[in-house]
Amino acid sequence: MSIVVNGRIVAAEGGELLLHVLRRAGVEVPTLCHMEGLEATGACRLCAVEVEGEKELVPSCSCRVRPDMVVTTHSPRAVRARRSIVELLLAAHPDDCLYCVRNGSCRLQELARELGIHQRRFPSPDFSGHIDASSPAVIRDADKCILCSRCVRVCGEVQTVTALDFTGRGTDLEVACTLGKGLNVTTCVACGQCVRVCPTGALHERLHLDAVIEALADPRRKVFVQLSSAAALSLAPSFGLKAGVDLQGRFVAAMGALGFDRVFDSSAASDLLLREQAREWAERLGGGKGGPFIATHSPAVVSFIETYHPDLLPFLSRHKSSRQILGAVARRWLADVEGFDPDSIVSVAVSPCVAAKAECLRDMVEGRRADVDHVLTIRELQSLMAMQGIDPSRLDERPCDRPFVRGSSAGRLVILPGGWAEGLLRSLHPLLTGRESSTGEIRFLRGTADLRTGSVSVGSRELSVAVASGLGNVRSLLDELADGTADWDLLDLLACSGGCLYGGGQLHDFDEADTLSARRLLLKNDRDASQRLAHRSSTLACLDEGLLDDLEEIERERLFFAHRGKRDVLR
Amino acid sequence: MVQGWIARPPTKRDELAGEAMARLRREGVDRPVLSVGMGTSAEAVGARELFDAFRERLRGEDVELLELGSLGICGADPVVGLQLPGRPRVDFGPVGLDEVDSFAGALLRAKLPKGTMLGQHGAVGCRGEVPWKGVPSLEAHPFFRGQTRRVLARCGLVAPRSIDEALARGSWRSYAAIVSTRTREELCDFVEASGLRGRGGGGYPAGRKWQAALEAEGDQKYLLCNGDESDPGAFMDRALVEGDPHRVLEGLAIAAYAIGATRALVALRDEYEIAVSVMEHAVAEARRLGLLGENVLESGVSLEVEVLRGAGAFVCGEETALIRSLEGRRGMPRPRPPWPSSHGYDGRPTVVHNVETLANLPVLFELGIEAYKAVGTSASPGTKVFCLTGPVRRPGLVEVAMGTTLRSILEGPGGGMMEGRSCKAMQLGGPSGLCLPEGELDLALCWEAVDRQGAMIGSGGLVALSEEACMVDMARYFMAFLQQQSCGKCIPCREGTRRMLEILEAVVESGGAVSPGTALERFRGVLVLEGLGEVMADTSLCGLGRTAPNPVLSLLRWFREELEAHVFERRCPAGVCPGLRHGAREVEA
Repeated sequence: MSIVVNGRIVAAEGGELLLHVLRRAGVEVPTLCHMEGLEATGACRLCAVEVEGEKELVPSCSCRVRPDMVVTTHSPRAVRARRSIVELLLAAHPDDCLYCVRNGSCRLQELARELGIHQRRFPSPDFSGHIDASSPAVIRDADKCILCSRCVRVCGEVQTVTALDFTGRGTDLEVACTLGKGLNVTTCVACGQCVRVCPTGALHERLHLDAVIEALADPRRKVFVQLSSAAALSLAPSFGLKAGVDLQGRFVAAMGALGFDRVFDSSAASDLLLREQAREWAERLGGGKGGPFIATHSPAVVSFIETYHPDLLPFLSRHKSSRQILGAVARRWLADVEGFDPDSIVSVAVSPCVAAKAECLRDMVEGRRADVDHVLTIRELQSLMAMQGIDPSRLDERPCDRPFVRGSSAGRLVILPGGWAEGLLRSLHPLLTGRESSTGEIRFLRGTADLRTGSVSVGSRELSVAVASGLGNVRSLLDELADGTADWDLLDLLACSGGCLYGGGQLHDFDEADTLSARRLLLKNDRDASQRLAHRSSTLACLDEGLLDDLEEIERERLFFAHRGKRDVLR
Repeated sequence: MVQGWIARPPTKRDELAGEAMARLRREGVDRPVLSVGMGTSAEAVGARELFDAFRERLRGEDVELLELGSLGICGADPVVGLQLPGRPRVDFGPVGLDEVDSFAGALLRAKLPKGTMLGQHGAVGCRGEVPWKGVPSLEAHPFFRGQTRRVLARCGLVAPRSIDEALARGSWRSYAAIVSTRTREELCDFVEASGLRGRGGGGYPAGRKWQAALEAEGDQKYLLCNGDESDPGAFMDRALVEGDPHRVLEGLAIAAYAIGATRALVALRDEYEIAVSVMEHAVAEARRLGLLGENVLESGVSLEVEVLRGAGAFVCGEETALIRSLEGRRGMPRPRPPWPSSHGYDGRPTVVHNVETLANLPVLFELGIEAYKAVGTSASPGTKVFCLTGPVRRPGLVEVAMGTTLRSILEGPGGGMMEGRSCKAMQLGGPSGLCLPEGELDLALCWEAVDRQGAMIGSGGLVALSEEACMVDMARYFMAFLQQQSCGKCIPCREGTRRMLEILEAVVESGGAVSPGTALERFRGVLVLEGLGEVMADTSLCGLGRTAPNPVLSLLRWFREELEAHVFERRCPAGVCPGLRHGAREVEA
């Protein structure tokens, strides 16, 4: 069938959303509240268009196309409505755009510009000035909230955390936390998805940028940084570099240019953790203590289990996240091997993970705080590079520093859902069978669905594996596990739907096509890589020789194991 | 006995049962009966105390005391009815506590007391009742004369807590016949052909809703009765449930059967305590007699009815918002489609009907299509209940044929404005309706005419406004209500009502919390109102936002001079707005 859009015949399928038809036809109508994959909420009304035969304007996000529908998307009436709506929003929004964390990436700002709003028709009201800075990871500035419902929906419908919801009515409507308290005493696990979907500066991550700038400026400090492979993948397009090309080396050079004393590859730390976890798992399997093994490098998933399923904590791997392990090991390395003053060392991580910021404040080992001092999101790194005038496209590639020089391709896959399981299975193989795996790809671990299950043979064993990304999917697996309806051997869980490329700390305007090509690149690199096994990575050999082999068991545990416990909220 | 009679076709009524029925209808009584019209509005003016005083005074006497619903003539509350053996009932009102003695005394002497008499009920004559001489007929009372009382017909006559009385007056008869003889498709066609439209506001054809819900796939279907009445100035749902719950319940059962729903929810406003208890009682009684529950009257049809207390939110007049609130979520509307008929309560096919719409169903099936359509206009058949309030002589519940003009309601049942007042405007359709000036009162109250005028019938609130009302202040008042009641979900409604209220406040206030600004600022505000109103009407998510600009639109359309006096001269001609100069323009000497 077809419909008529602005006088042009456009092909459409019966029952398709008008908005999708318009976008496919290259007709851009603005949206604020629309979220792909969720049921239309119809709150912002910006996508309203004229449909012949309808009295009122019709929101294209919730309108199913009918044969021979005649649609006008940018009639004077529709554009006037859009302008009025944005004017109304501006009238209820603070004007301090120039000081806003979202200056330049704000959807409201963009809409005001696109719709040519240059006149203030409504007086600006007073603002409360209240900022909820109680959470270690997510800051809420209610004044800047335009009540689009995106955070509420991602938190409730996708993540099933529901730390945020609407309260009040009419003008008193606001997004608030349970009982009007701060975010720190809610069920929030700091996944940061609310930040990623927020169109304005109402939600943003706790910025560690200034602390990092200060540390870099202090000549007495030795600052090392671990660079997530997601950083180069995500930032490349904004420097005019082709998406989907491996640019890690240039970004390592950029980190050096920013003044970091050491630059480490975080996928090398993933290798280390994969090896250690494979040993832990093999021990569990060997000791007859079957049961599921929950392997996650997502701190939000850990908090989620501590909050909603403390009963499953015994099945969670005892290991810290790879980020924390790198922090701990690198501190030891720099002090013991390179002779740095331990007190002068500052540990920084660049990561698309907002929960990593909360993780910094956890007690990792009894009485010992975490080993990452500051976490920069991809957005903060972008801002730091702009501030320092650094353009990786004009820098020559360089490798990372010893000992975390370069991870195996398995260590780099872990930012994709299922990647961790794949790496772990490769490293488990020799422990169970005495020989290396053929490193063949495991198909279902590479799918794009957020929830996947399957089974894998390792030697004589048949292991059932479940992969989930997005906390709603994580919850359904954990619930099944808890009530005994399912019995997985391995669970690979990530808090953000789609994995770390969609992490809470990713760029707000990161293009979906670029994300997909980044994903393809990671898979292709693994296929072509010379080293596909985490436990055979040269980094590990170097680490073992230089540091780990000399450590007492108790010291190893301090470096690798984390303390976890039931988390009570609303106290 | 009653149950046995229902299962049989009414034509085979035997004499004995007929007599018992007649007695339940009080067509002739063996001993004196004194009834007090109760319900929220009557009890607000002391009906409960009056009833208790009568009970005290008549203790030990051979007199039957009855609690009935309201006749609807609210200005005459509390209404007391006296019926002596061999005579028809005579109604009085208002009756004060000081009249208890004289009423009781007269009753015991088989005489009529002195008091404000409303009239005697029509002599039914089946037992040779002799009308009172010199007592006017109640039907000839000017309040009732212009009315066509169909859904209200039994209010004030039937005891709301007695299912036997309801049955004797014909309740459940249509339902009993329908479940055993008619198919669902026939019912949907019947209602479609009758032209019955929803009385809750939109006037959507009921048959079309049924058809869609009947055709929708679903393992469970629901029928929802919306009695979460929240218009200030509308109380017909409350009065109907309080006065004649079985009419509503029977309508509910018919509609549920027609769409194949085996579960029905009656959402009543939490503040309506009497209505909730009356309805709960009615549901329990109907269940006891096997009219509700499993395998109704051995027809194989089942229906479970649950009474729920709604939180009284105006936005829950929007069906998707009501459904959400009944599900235990925030009462916020969502875009339609998907329509509730396919995707409603609990995601299942659901039909939502207002109380008055349901009350129309037994009427329709009793009368048949032709007789039903004989009243009203062709596009708006039947009657509509209006709640007439304001400084009129006889405020109350008025049921008139669709197409009756505003003026004839005001002047007929309403009796015109109170002594010394004149009508300046009438506000029709609740807070988001239009305020029509006196010159527009010949508007016929049917959907087609009202739509043409750009007005709305809404749930049927009708507020008469005298010269003492300031139209700008009224607009501000209604806008404040709408702004508070907006759920806040969609931008045009949430922010639009807020800005409109701000602009109106600056116009009516002289300082204090709201800065009135300069005349130029106020004028610019007024200029904004018009365009803003159009955008709100054009883009808001639900009916609340789409109609929210109406108070402002009627101000701009019909009361511009009054508005301009406020804006430019800081003068309130009606003398309402504090801090502004009052009265007519002063002419400099």
